[in-house]
Amino acid sequence: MVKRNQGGLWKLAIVLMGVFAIVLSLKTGSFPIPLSEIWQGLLGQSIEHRDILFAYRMPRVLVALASGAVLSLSGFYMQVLIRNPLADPYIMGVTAGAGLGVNLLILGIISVPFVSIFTRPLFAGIGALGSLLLILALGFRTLLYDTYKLLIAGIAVSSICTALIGLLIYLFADSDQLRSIVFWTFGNLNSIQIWGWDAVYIGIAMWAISLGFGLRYGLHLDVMATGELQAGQLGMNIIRMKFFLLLVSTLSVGALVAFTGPIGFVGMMIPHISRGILGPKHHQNLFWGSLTGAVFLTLCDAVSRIIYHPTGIPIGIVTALVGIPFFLYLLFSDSKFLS
Amino acid sequence: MQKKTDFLRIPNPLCFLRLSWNLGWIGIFCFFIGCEGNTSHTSEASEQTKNEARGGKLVAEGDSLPKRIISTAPNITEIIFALGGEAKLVARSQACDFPMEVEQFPIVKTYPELDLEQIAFHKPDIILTTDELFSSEQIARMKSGEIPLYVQSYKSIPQILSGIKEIGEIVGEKVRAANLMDSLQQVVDEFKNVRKGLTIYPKSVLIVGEDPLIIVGGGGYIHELMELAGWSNAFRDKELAYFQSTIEELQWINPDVIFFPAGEESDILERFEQFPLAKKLKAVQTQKVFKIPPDLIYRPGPRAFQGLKEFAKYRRDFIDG
Repeated sequence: MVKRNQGGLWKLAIVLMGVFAIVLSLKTGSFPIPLSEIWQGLLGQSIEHRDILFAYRMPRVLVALASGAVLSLSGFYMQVLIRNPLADPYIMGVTAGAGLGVNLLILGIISVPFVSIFTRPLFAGIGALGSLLLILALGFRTLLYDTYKLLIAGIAVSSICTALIGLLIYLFADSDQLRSIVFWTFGNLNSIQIWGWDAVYIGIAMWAISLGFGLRYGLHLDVMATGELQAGQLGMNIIRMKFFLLLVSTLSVGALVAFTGPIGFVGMMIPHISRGILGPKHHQNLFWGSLTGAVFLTLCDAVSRIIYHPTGIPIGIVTALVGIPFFLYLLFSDSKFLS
Repeated sequence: MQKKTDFLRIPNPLCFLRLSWNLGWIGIFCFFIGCEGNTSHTSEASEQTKNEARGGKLVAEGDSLPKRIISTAPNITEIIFALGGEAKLVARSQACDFPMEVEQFPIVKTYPELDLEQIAFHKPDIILTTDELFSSEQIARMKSGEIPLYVQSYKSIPQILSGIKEIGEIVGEKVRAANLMDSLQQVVDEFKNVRKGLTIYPKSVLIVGEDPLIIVGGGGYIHELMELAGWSNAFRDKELAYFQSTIEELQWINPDVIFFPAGEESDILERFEQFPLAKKLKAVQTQKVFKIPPDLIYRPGPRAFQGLKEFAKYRRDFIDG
């Protein structure tokens, strides 16, 4: 009963914090828009601010929400897949693979005749998928049966991709490209203001795919979390499930990483907070956990822009600064979030 | 339950890996921020170096003048050639590509790292460089060697002119340096007079980099070139020479004209039109996105004054419609 009340309060708090985060984020930018005019602007009654709100701030807010949600969902999936509480969406080399793809594009090593909204996500997706295929090519069945081998293969592939990125930067990057790469690596939502609503459509689509998968297979995830042996005895096709978990996480995170760069700790942290409050069942956790991640990232983005006006501190740094203390807390304490 | 607890208590080497990775990036970011904020410290350091160099054998006459010079900056190489001092040049950086004759000179790599071995190989009497190319730590390291290091700083047009004069002293071409300086000063004075008579100062922005968006502020010689040519730099209130901005800020300012440093071959307007939100800018809609050769504005030497003329030409075209 107490748990249920806690859960209800938490859900209410998330909704209220979500509204607060969205309003704060819409209010914050290169120049302040008064609260009273935000509503008028959104309704189209204030022409002066309507364009700024719809063209620049709203896409940023929505991509921040989608990124936070997708990272949280992938965190849930990876923690079930690897059976490790410190797993996050990047553990299987998704970021490094996506980073390799994006760097090939930024450095002009693979030239494209035209630039469109899909170019960067496409390269990031191919890179992320490539790293996943490389892991699976090392031994499909062995790796999917043996979680630890899968984890080690992920770390190894991630290291190879990181080394290749370093090599490419060292050999080919000029100062402008180096600046772009470094800022992308920090995790940054500023580039959303260049891509606008096109980035929002991709972000929302990834959120829908990832959440849809989770809600469809929530029970399977509950069973998998109790142990692979038990899941197998209940007739679950573990290999297929693991493959889908990898695929959904890789594609959804890979596509968003292309715009935002790697944003750490959301995927690791949010599942623990959500499970600590809502219990172990995935159905509830996936929905509310993704909302928690969405609100957290949007709030971090707004605060970063208030602290360092108007561009904001790169979001990856803000989430890491919040995440590292939490990470250490998890590491050195018997937190109830881990129980 | 027991199983779950065991799984949660597995010692995890990943945590330390991830922690050090993130702390590393935070460190790099702080370094970037620090560099931006500490410009004055760097220029103080270089000012000190410059003064030391001035007080040493650099200003000496006759035989004690340096005979073997290494230039690590393209603008310095251009100044040396403009003054006819190339006979003393023994090596140049890989970025020095003007005038064409410079290709005959051996290269000393300065990027991604300064090749100190190559510098030692050429046995220079002096190394000429700028405070924008090297960090104060690198400058201090180079200074600790036996070879004199001469560091120039170019924050304004008068500093470019005095830089030409000082290099003239180093290469032993004082008279030519004075003549060049006078002719360039004359160009500046003419533009100043023309500007006084203008009534319209169209709002312009010079974008240095797209991602992240880096724009020329009011704190450097490029700003001065733009303003002298009759433009009004929309970001003149920013104290830095360059600063990071947002597309929202750019939209709010909504300049009449956008300058973008790019070569002849690239189609700048097409590049801008590919970004959905950039299409909303007035300058993009009216097709007033102009490219300006990067070498004419990024190299504070004689060719920067050609850049000034380019800015003025675009202004005339803009006013004439």
